[in-house]
Amino acid sequence: MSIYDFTVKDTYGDEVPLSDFKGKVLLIVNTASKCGFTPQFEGLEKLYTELSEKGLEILGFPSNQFANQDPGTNEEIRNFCLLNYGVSFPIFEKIDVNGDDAAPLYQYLKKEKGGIAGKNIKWNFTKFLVDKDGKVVKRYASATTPEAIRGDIIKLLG
Amino acid sequence: MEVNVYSIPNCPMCNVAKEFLKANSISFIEHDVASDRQAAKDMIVKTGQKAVPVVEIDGEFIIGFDQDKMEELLGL
Repeated sequence: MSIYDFTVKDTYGDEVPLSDFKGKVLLIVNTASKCGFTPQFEGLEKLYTELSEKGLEILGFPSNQFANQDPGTNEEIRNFCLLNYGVSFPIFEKIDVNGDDAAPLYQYLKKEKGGIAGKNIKWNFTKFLVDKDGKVVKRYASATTPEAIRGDIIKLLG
Repeated sequence: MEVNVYSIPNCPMCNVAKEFLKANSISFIEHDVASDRQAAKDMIVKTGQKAVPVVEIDGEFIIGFDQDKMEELLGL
């Protein structure tokens, strides 16, 4: 079983095999499902803009499992949202990351890299780093900023 | 009068725009641009941008929720 055996769906319902991303360094992130500005989206977009040509791909999976705990501040004030959350890396169909209905990809990621306090995803923007051979090498908590992961990504890009 | 609303789920201001139309008994066609690829393309081509909601009133586009502009174009 490898990460390349999984297939996910884009926001239009079309199937995307993860084998499409063979040979890339992947950062897999469960994103907030609400629209609006968050510094994490901005940081991820920056990483993507800088490193996508060198072989980084960021895959975003919106999940509404933390929606009720969303502090919801900035997004309420703005009078618009951006399609695809205003980022240029791929955003996929909304999924569950925890529980019986958790997407198979997330069951696999959590099995490969459990968190410090158990396997479950605690919050939006938990990140999994996958090397060019498909190995899940590291898991980062929500609070870890995209900037803080940059060094690890660059090492894997080689 | 033809009114189209381009929106995405979980977008507070998209909901406000739709509620405003409903409260004023204005019927409209809703396009979920997160799940309808063709509608998304149309919206981007017609408006040259990716922000939602977009409210189209008889061929005129309002980007974001702008109550004053909506009232003006709807003659409210």
